[in-house]
Amino acid sequence: MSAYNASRSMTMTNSAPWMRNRNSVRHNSKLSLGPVSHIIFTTAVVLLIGLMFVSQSSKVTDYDLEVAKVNSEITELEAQRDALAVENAKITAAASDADSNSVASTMVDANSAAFVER
Amino acid sequence: MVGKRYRFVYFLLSLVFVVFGARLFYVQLVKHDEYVSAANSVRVKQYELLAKRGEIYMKSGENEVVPAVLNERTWTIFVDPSYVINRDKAQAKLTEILGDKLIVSWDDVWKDLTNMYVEVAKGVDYDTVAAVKKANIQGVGQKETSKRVYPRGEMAAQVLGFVNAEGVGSGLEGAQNDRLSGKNGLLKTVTDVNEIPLSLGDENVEIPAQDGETLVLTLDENVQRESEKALKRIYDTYEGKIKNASVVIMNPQNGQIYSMATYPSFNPEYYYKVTDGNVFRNIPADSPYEPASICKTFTYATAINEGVISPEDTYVNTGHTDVDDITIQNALGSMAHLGTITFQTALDYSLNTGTVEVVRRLSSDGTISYQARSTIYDYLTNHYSLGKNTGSGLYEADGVIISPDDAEGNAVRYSNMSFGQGMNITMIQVLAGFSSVVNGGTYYKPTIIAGTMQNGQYVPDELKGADHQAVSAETSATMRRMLQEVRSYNGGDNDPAGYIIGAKTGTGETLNEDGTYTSDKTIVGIAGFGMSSKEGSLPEYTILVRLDGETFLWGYEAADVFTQLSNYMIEYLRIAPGA
Repeated sequence: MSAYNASRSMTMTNSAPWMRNRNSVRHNSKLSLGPVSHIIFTTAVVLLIGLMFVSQSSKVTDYDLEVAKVNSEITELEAQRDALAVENAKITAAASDADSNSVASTMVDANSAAFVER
Repeated sequence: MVGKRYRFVYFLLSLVFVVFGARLFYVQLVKHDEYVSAANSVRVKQYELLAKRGEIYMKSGENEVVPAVLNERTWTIFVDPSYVINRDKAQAKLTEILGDKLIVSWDDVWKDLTNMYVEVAKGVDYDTVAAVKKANIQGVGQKETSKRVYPRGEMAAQVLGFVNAEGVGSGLEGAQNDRLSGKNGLLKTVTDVNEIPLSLGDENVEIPAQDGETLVLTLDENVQRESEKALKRIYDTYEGKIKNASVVIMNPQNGQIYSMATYPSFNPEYYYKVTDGNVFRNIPADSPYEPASICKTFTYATAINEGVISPEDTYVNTGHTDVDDITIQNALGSMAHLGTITFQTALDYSLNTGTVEVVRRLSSDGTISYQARSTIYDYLTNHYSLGKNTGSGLYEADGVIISPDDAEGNAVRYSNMSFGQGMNITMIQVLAGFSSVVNGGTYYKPTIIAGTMQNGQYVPDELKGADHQAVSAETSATMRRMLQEVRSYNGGDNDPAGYIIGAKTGTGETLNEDGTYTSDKTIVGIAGFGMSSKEGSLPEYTILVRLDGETFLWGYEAADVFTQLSNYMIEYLRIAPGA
């Protein structure tokens, strides 16, 4: 622990290490782009980016259309489900009514009653 | 020379660029908002996302629920005449598919080509619209709508009500519209040429719709069905004599309404075919009336609770009694049971003189004084909560009970009120008050809503609980015994053994337009309860029947309905008999 601290302290006070890695020679490229090449290159980059944008946009739109199609199918299936639920409810209600009639038939009828004058 | 030409071309090009620049400046900056707006109006569409209206269920037994009102998707088929390429073909195909669902003549469709939207069929079902779509006819479109369907037909029609074409509801549909209707949402989005929403742009907004609540009613379909059958039976039996027949059955231990029915009825799905608007009235809640002698129950309960009479106390019945300058007689001028009789006997035979005497006993000076009238008024309005909306969840009329502080709240008025005349109250008020008299003395606010459906499951509301103490438990027990004896004189022979059935009938004359009573139009009714005769039992159901007649009716028509329903409730609720 103490050795590490000593080393770090030395680095901080000595400027030699960073000077050792400094570039001392600069190489100039012998090839250079002219103005026409610059324009072509820039245009190509812009077109590429534009193409990517259009590509992504159309992909999003494709998904939107797909979603709309699926939503439409969901709507149709829900409509069918609702229609069936209504039919089921009507049939169940009719069956329940028929059941109640059979139960009622076993019950004692209300007879005519005797009343006091009032 | 060449240099001049170059300068000229240079100048010309510069001028063109300046013009272009100026034009761009004008278009891009000065007119920016206008063009953006114009562009958005074409490509950005705004839709209202319609909230699904909540459905309505009713109970079937203790825990089961069944649908009473459902939503069904329907479609409106429309034609844009200017887009139709082959009219004959379109007309023939649509006629074939729509059949009798066509609502316009084809001449009307084609007569005005500037009209871009002509509805040719409304409310068509899924199969029909699928056939129209499959036919793929240019210039023909469909718009989704929704309609309410009633799987149980006429059942509880007046309670449920309906939603008319303008979206205005009657019955429960109107009273609970805030809960049922939900809240519409908003979709603002870029669309393609077919108006399909696209995710492009940064102005898309979607606020989802909040669907309405699906309510579960306290009405039990089995009790409701039996109630409606009982009303139809009595209506048919006395054909021409009964104008309207109504009944309410309540659980007196929590205020939940088992059934509420009125006959004649209608099918809410075809409400527009009804010719007599009176059948829309939910009489138990929205039509106040004079319950007549049923109200003697309240007068006796008041006096017993105040400790001024007991059933065995006596008074002298002379067949009539004078109040101020008015002579009050027993019903039909009866001179029976004259002499010294008990108040129990007076109630058994529904003697008006006995009830007036009960009111006099409420006053220290033996008259229908302000003190007596104030006590009666306090009990009617505060203890039994009569003459005001009960908060059941239905459309309710308030009714009227004249205060003793009012100039019309005099002794004559209050003597009449003691046997149920000179006041206007609704059936639901009467039954809730009656329940509080016999159920042990506790007033429960009546309610029609039991809970909601959430994710397909019935979630009951927390019970409202006791609202207030109307009379003491002792008074309630006394009133049960008195009403049991009254019932024994009014159809009690048909009550099964092992049960305590108590009831009070009432026959009221109705008012002419000039304010005088007529016996040509009467309202008869009966309020009663049923319970096991086992010790410690309390009433498990209360029933109130009302028959509005064109000609004079006796109370036994209503008692006949009561008997049928009382017997049914004993079996349906599986009330164990006592020894």
